[in-house]
Amino acid sequence: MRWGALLPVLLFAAGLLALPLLGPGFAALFPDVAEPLYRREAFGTLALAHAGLVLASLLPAAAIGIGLGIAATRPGAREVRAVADALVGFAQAVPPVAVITIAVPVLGFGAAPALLALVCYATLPVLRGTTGALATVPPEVLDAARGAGMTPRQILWQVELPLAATPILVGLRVAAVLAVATAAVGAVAGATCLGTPIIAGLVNGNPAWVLQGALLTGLMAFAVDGLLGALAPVSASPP
Amino acid sequence: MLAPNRIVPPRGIGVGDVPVWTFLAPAAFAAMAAALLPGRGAALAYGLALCGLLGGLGAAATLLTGVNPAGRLGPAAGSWVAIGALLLAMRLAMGRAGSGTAARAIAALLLVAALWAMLVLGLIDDLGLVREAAARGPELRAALSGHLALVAAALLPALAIGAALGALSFAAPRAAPMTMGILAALQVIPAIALFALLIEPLAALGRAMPLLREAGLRGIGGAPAVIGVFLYLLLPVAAATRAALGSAPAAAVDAARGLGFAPAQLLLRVRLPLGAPVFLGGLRTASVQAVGLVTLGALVGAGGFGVLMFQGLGQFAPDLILLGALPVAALALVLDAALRAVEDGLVRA
Repeated sequence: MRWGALLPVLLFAAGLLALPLLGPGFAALFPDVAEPLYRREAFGTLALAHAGLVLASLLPAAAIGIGLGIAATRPGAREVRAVADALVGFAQAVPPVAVITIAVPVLGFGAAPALLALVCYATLPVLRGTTGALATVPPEVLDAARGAGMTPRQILWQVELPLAATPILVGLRVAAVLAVATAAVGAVAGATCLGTPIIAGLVNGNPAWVLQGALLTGLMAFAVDGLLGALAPVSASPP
Repeated sequence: MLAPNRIVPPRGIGVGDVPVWTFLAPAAFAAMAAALLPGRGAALAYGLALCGLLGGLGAAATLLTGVNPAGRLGPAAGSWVAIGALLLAMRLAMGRAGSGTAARAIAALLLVAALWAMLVLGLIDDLGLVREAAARGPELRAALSGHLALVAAALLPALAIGAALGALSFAAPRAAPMTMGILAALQVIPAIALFALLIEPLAALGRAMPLLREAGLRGIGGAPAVIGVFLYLLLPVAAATRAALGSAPAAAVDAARGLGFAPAQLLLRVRLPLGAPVFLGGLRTASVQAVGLVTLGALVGAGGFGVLMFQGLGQFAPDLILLGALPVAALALVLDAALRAVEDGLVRA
């Protein structure tokens, strides 16, 4: 655990606490705006809802991504691999905002469309990280494990997954940072999150609100990156 | 789902409620047969099943709303899942048959032609989505040309400047972490926020320099969206350029130096040809991202399919939402597939 990695987390917490006190500052920055501070919901509530969206999408995404990744790398699973490849290619190419809006007629307004898009989008980096990581386990190691009389299940749990853990965590980290930035788009379909002040500011011509929402979303992305970086000390490559 | 007009919440209609078995029964039969057929036959059968399903929906629409021109029939969740599953099954069947990109393109064209034929024959005329599209022909065309223009306006400068930045960070590795760090930090700003925050400075710039304002640089409109998307695209382009230049194996670079290649020759004849597929991969990521990001530009007054999409969200008119969102998804998929085909061609060459 490197404590330096927790600095962005502290920065995010400080931003969350300090922002409500900065009303006069925003008033000076945007003199034309009647209500310089977003007050419809507390920033803490929005941040909590945003984190909830990210977590609620990351858990299924991790389960699907890692599960599918393991299934696709088992011997004799060409079919699974083909399904995974096709799904990944599809989900990667369709933009999240299209997924969110296509889902609205079926799922209605609120958090559900955003969750669907986030799960679609966050599964990819995890799946790619998992298949990539499992493919790098040296065949000699697998041969040795088989020679030592380990069952395929033992090999998976005691050899492959421990060796592949770090790249899998890197995939999770990329997915989490992407999810934080993408969740803000969910506000378009009525999800309550840090994107809500951005959309409200856009609709009411209030750049101060936009800035507040953007600031907290950016800080949260850095905080999540730092937090997961402390767990997986390898720099996440940009998506 | 059936609604008496385009914005009233619809009520569900079951398969058994409408006598459209002339379409659905063959569709179900084709889907079952596909599971037994080998390779491309299966893909064809899945395609036929898809056409049958759509034809069934179209016939149901005619039966239920034929007398009421404002009535709207749209597929509900079950039909959407069936459509998605059939598309996926088709794609997998093609993959199993070992079809290359050309065969896949032909299959996609066949499917589009089949849909076109059904449209011309009037089989799916009464579906809500088709009615909405018919009512908004000019808007739809404006959205397409607007969307493509915005994507090009953001992508072309991003290619030039991103490639320059990538080459710079390859040539001067010490500057690389900072350049890439700044470009990566830009990515965590939500797109809608970046666009919105660009409005004010651009408006101020327009006020200060009326000449720029004349040229279309205003706070509201295409300018903030194009500049915002351009900034997002710099990272994939620069990262791909850098990776492409570095992708020539050290042995190949050494061999070329041993042959007495000048640095310029080394770049033109070794590094660029070997790195081209990597660069194209970055170009593909950037173009697909551009198609999606430009959609959000509608929120700051830029054109494109986002206009239809957000109008639809505002009125809660599902057909209008889909009219904006489905072309965006299709555009992204087509761009992705086309550039992937070029990439595959380069790798094989």
